[in-house]
Amino acid sequence: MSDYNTLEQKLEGAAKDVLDDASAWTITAYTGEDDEDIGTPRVVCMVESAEEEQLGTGNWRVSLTVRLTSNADDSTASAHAANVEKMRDLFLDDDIAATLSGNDAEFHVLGIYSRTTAKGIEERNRFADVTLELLAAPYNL
Amino acid sequence: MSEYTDDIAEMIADLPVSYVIGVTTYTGTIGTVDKGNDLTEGGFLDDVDAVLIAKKSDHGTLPAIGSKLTLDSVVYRITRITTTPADNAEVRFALQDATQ
Repeated sequence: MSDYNTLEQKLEGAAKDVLDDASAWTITAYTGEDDEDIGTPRVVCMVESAEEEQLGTGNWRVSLTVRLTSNADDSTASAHAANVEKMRDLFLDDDIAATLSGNDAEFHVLGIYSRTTAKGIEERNRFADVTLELLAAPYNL
Repeated sequence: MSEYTDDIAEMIADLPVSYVIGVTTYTGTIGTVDKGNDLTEGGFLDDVDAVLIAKKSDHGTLPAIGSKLTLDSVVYRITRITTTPADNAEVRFALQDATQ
């Protein structure tokens, strides 16, 4: 399979590595297409689509969302907020492009367009997102 | 004891199941168990709903909504509690898989 066809998975994996490599992060991280049995709390790194930025450049505009979900019966709002802060600190870091690039030898983030956050309630769970809109290439530079 | 209370006791005696809330073991009967397993972002998420019927007299203090209940080695979360205040005979616990 061409590297171009796995850009979303590479970015999800690189984002998961950001969490797995952080010593202060203890919640299990998954990529969007993982097939393990999951529960709460959990954090999922998701890329749903990519669009080539200028046809033929090989550079793709990608939206990465990292979502933390915690059960409201098992954790307090303040405990959830503390984990949200840790997660967002990791992905809103000024060096995040380089960190993501370093997590996969065949993948490079050229820059970040925008950063957004969101939060909400789903049934008895609290969730919080951090989303990075970035320009990435499915090869090393 | 009302006839309804007797009926509940007989129903539980006919089809008993043991369940644990906290450290206390109780006996009730299970109404329905609806099991599913959904694929969502990140993996497979158990989707299990059940209704457990118990004697109200066993639960002088009802557990809190959201607390956990273990039945057949499965940990559930209590999502709703239905009582029959008129005769004080029955309590129904609506359960959801605790990982949901």
